[in-house]
Amino acid sequence: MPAEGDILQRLRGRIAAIERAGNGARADQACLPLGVSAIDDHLPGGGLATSAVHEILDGDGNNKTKTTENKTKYPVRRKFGESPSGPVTAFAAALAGRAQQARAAPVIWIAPRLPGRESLYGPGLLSFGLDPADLVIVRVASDSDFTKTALWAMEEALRAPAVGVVCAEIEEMGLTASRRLQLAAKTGGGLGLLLRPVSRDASEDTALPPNASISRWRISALPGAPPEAPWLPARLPGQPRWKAELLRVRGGRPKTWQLEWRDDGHDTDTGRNSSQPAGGFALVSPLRDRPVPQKTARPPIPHANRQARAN
Amino acid sequence: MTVDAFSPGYVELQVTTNFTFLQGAAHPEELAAQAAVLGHDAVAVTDHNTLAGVVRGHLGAKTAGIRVIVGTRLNFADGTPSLLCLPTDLTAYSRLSRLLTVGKRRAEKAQCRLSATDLFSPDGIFARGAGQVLIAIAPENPGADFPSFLSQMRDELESETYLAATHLYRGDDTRRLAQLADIAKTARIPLVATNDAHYHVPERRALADVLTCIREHCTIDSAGHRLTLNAERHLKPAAEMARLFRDYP
Amino acid sequence: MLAAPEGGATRLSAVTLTARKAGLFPGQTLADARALSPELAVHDHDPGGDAAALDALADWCRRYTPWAAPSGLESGGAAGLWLDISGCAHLFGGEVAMLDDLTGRLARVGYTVRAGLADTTGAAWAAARFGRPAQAVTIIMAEGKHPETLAHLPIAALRLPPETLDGLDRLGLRNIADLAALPRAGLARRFGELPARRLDQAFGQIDEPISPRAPAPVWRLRTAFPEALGREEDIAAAVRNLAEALCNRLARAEHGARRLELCLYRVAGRVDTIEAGTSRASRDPDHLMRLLKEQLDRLPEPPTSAPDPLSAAAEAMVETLTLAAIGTEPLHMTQTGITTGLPNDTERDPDALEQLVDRLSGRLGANNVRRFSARESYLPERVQTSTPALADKQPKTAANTPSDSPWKPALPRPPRLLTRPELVEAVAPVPDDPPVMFRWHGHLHRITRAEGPERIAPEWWRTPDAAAGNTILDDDTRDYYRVEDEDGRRFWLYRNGLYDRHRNADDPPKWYLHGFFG
Repeated sequence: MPAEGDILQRLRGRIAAIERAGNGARADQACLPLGVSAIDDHLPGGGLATSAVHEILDGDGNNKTKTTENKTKYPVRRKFGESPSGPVTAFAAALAGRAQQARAAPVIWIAPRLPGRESLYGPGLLSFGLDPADLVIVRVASDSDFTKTALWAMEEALRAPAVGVVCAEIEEMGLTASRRLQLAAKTGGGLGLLLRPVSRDASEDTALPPNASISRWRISALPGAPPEAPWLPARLPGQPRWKAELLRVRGGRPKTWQLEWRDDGHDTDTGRNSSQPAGGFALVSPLRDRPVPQKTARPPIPHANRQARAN
Repeated sequence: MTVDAFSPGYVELQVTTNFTFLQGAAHPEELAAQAAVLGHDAVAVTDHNTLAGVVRGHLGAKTAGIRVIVGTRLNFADGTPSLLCLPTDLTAYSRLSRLLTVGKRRAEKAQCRLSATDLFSPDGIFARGAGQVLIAIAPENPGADFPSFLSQMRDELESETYLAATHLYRGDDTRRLAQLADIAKTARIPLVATNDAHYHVPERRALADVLTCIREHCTIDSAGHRLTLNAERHLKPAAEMARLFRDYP
Repeated sequence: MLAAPEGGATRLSAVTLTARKAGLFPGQTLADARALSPELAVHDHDPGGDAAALDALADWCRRYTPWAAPSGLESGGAAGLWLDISGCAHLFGGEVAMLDDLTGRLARVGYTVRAGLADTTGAAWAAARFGRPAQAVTIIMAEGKHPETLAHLPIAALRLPPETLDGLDRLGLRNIADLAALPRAGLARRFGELPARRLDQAFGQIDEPISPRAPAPVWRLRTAFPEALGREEDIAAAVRNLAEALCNRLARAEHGARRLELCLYRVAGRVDTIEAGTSRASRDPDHLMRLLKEQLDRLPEPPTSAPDPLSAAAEAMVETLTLAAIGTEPLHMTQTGITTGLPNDTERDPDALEQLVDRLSGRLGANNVRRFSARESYLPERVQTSTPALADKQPKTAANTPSDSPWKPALPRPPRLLTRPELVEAVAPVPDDPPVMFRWHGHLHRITRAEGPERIAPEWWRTPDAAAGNTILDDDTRDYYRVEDEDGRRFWLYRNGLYDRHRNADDPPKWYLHGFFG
């Protein structure tokens, strides 16, 4: 359960974002807060700038914390189907979902057409807050014209004022192309997320050609949390965790966080869904990993009910 | 007599036969015969708000050479969690059947309307649970008041009280069993394994699905999640049940 | 001269006029024909190619009338084209002028044309094929005197199958007058009702509508240019004018276009057809123009036989344009919005998304711009379907997620699902404990956390093959496990089949990877 203060802060952030958007303020000032104050405070403007394009790299090919031996374990990231990994997809879906709700505008997702390969799966996206019913999938033939056509589609989509978020799985990207995207996002006001399926070798950040994206993130999987309730067997998977590296951001400094997806809609004790929609990001708190078994931690049995029923 | 049911030899205590209209997908005789094949020394017949299946169950059990455990699954109209009610003597049996009769009189034809008052009221028809074995069935999402309901059962009804636990291969069974075990521990009542059998052999799943469609007035293609996820609601051998519940001896 | 193998011998399928004069006829063997005229030029018969060419020609003829259809070989005699020019001829200065224009244009691009013009389909067919041989155009305007006018024509002019013609010939019947004189009942007994029907059709006693190659649209506009257009800008401007005129007409009728068809008639006789769809009815000329322009710019270079680039360019010039709304829906005044173009405009133009979908669909193909929809099913791959966004008439608007929506999974589901699950090698305690490790693409994943099984049985009422696009062939009960490896990667694995119920001990159930969790 997030603390009350946390919720308040989140609400304030959202109200502020709505006000910024509604007052006809300059488009490039609008922001999409991630809902985690530690990150939002670090980002210039209090969140991801909308009317702009951001990049999300896939960190699972070369997680920095891994040994060199581990690094060579995944010589070809392409084997994952040339699609972004689960964590990158989830992170993008969570951002897109937040924007979808804040702007009540649909999400466009541009991806190569890979017959028989992995594809976006609505029920999974929904658990990260992205409503699949309000999503338009754009499939671009994965031929030699892919990059050109996908960039065209992304530019068109960003330029359209009706669109909230445009996610695009594009690997190659020149400086000119990314400038065009940035310009299109400024015109349309939406949030552009470039998911780059393959992050190149070691010194990745410098190896990638420069481009005009406002920020560049790298998301990798972290061993997940143990189940929350103390009585659950520890071998069960808990909430997913990611390492979120902000590699660069315009007007800010790089930083790394350990993020956890707090699925408020999922009753973590039973694993079954309650009626609430999906939850949000949270920082991994080192405390929660070693829950102190306390008798008082369990909900006391409300005996008041019993009186009422007996009469 | 029912005490035997909880000794190492396993007996299925939650059995819905075709006497529960459009739910059970097997005759009581078929269930009894299969229970004998599996080496159970008894089988329960617990149709929903009715005792109609027990006679046929009794005959079937006699043929198969095992005992029948007479009972009813009590479903309540007011959201009170369902219970298995297994009377252990004649007085308890007649009180249960009186409760069902009253419930039927309250409702439309072939229906039975019960509420928590019937269960708990000290001067009600049920007149508390003396002589009954009561097994609570946890709802899909046990709320915060479920443990208190169990405590109330334990404290107010003069009966043996248990909590039923099922392992139906729904994916979250480990989680759910752990949760039920915790609830049972909190409420200080024992856990008892059942398989919520609706048919005697897995092959009857298709029939169960068809019954669901008739009950819900829908086609098999549009029935969606109202159908069964898998074919696990059949009678299972004791060893199998022991394996599924090995974390909860 | 065309030839095709038939019954062991190569026989002639079609002969040119000159060849016919030399005594050759269809059905003759190629060897006999060669004996008669050794210098003859023979080409292989290509029925598919003929049909395609005829279709193309029918398209071309729609510059004159929307009711243009090929008349195939099934009606006997040579294939040809029907044009119903009722109400169209005056646009070209009358029926004769129109025919002259048509035959003239076709002659210039190398066709030998025989045309017949008549007030019944039967008579027109007869006139085109059996009219005065010296003339390319035969006009029969009988106005109620058909029996007399057509009397001298051979019975073959009645579009009857060869067997019927042979039979009539054996009876000594030669021309239409002979046939018309026979008692109808006897004729029908002997040859079926077709000869009598063909007579009636030729004489105009029963109606015979022709079925056009494309449904005749109500909303069609046409411009012909005195000087053919070559520059792209000029063509675009002309299309734009048509689009505006079309939108005006649609507005008057309170309709909007769902499908558009733009035809460019080029000098060389080639017709380029562009179709564009809209996800909602529209009569916004800017929007429609954007859709058409998108494809207009990407039209392939027309193939040409011209010897030099200059004449190639001349052949590619556009003489005539038609723009049609081939699908329309009622669209009332209030529904046409105005795009504000302001970012973060809360009162966003509802048309804007549809317009984007239309543009994307136009370039990428409607099949590649899709929306998801969900249905209730336990089988993961059956939950989600996608349909072209263009076909979606009621696109969802705001994000509202009812808790009982079929999207909402009871248990966690991965955001990425493999359309075709991939085989993995897994090590797991029998019968149904979660795997402790699995190997996929040569890499070993040690599992640290796992949950399951979620046992999902096949939908017994569906045969596996019946599901279109069901890529999972071996359909057995599946046990799904949610697993996490030591690096924190989360996978969705399943075992296809149960150990204890598996029929063959030598062939244990296989494990598959089905999805990637976040």
